[in-house]
Amino acid sequence: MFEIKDLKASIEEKDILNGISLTIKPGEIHAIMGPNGSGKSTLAKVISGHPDFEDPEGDIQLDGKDILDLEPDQRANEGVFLAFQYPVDIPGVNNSEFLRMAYNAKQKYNNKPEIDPFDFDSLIKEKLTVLNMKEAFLSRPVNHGFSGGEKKRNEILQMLMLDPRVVVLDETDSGLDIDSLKQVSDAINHFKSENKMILIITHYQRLLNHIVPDIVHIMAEGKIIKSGDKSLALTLEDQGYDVFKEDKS
Amino acid sequence: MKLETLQKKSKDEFKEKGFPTKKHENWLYWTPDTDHETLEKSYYEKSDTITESEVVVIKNGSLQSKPTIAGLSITNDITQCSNESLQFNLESSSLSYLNSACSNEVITIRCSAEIKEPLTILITSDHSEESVTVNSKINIIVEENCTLTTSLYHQKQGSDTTLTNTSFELICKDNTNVNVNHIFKDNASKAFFNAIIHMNENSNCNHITYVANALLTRHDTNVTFYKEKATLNLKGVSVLAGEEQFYNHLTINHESKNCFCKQHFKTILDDKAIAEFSGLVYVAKGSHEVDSQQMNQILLFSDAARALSRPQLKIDADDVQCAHGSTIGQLNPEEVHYIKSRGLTESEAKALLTYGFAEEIIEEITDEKLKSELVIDIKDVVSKIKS
Repeated sequence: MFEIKDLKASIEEKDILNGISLTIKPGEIHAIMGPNGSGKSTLAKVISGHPDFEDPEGDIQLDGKDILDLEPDQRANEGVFLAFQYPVDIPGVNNSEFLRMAYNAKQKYNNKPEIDPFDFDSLIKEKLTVLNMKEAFLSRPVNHGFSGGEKKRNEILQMLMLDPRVVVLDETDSGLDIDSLKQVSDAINHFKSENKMILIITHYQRLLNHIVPDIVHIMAEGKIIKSGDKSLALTLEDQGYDVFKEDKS
Repeated sequence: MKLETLQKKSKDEFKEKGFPTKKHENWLYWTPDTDHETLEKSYYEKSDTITESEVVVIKNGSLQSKPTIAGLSITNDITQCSNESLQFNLESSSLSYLNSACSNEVITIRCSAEIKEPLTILITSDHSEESVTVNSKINIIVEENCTLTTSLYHQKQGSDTTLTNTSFELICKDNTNVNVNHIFKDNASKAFFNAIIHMNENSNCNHITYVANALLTRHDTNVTFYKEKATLNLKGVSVLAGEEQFYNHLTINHESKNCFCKQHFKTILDDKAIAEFSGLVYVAKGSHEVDSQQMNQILLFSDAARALSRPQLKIDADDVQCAHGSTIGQLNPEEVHYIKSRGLTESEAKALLTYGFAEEIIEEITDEKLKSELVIDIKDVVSKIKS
């Protein structure tokens, strides 16, 4: 189970998260929607351990283990994965090499042996097939010279390879064309299983047509102001955020 | 020219110029004030015979062994130098005159074919004399329509008080393709390197330097474009830590129109290391349609490290494209976080990004064996960066 309890975070003395609480059970997909500046991406960053937010208050627990005090790499190796809204370029390091390093870092953290290079090669090719990506993608430097869509698909490839327990998708649908959105959605649905927990951050209902959430949360001013089933996203698209803000008041 | 004539002319020039002082614009930040005696005390050990080997070995200033390759002439007979080399008026540092005055051999490599395999040149010293300087003088002449790739390993063994003062002259004649790599690493003493490069019509040259784990390195590179349509890529990577120092000075003379020169240097600095870059691009009157681009980039890992960057342009011609720039900065915390979020530690993340910074230059090395060596070396060096 992935639990966030009364999470508060600020930057330069400005409060961004004002007490977020949510629980994602194994097998569940949650979606967070909210207007610009509501704190959605900050939530994703705080979950990943971004250094801009040094002393967040509250708890983040994965299967009962507090991860809020862990370094980002430790959180990743515990099974937390953030698909970045803006993945960064790493020139000089090819995708395959980077993924192998990341994969083996997790193996080492869990006291497991490094993966055999041939087994890794087979595994990564299998995952490429899920995303309908070409093998040439692997020899290119990580995200360097990639289109926006390629970067997002690369994030999903990393997710498939690292096989995390908890996935936070921060606006993964932004910058994707219709075909890419479907491919990425199919890959996430392929990844979904009864022990995975997925948190989708998005502005648009269209992603949720492909990946059906169990629970939708509406976030405003650093808080979750309403939660409901998937129909909430449709209502939101129809009526906008103001209605919910008024409800809150 | 006879060797004695060269030595005498050089000695006269050096006497007139003297050792560099801080009054010279190119020597503002470090001068060899405590090394005068050592620099004038030359160590030379003549090889008894020049033996056959896979690589060219120049030891203690003398040609020791060489390969036999069709289309390549390798000799220490000074009469084999063409009139185009040993041009005194191009020497940019008085230490290069001192090198010529003290060198007992002028090693000339003349390429008169398309040489497919890279030529390795090992410049080394292995004696135990204290406080002396090993002077090596190497000329490479690539004849018209010929191709050469060569990698020069500047190594030094023996006493840490031994200095090296090396002069390198490269003549790229018309329609040539030349790749030259210089590797300066693992040197606990001071090394002076003077390079002169001549570019002729439609000549194409990639010249890359790599400096790592070297106490103090001073490079003076002087390039002249004599004829049209020549292209030179002058690039380098240096990794400095501890109290290491690297002073890199370029002078690019565009004496002819319609030539291209790209200068791109990257330096990684940690601890109390110092790096100076000074690059002057001069476009002479009438040298139209010249495209000269200069960039010096520095990655700083320590508050105590010092980077000095002076890109300069002097343009006396119309219709030219010249740009120069310099960046000094640290690793982007967003990039470090991204890599950490994939399970790699902070030091692993920094090492990856630092390698990525340098890789752009390393990737352009055409000698695949050398490239593989440097990829391993630079990954090892950057993984040791502490800050």
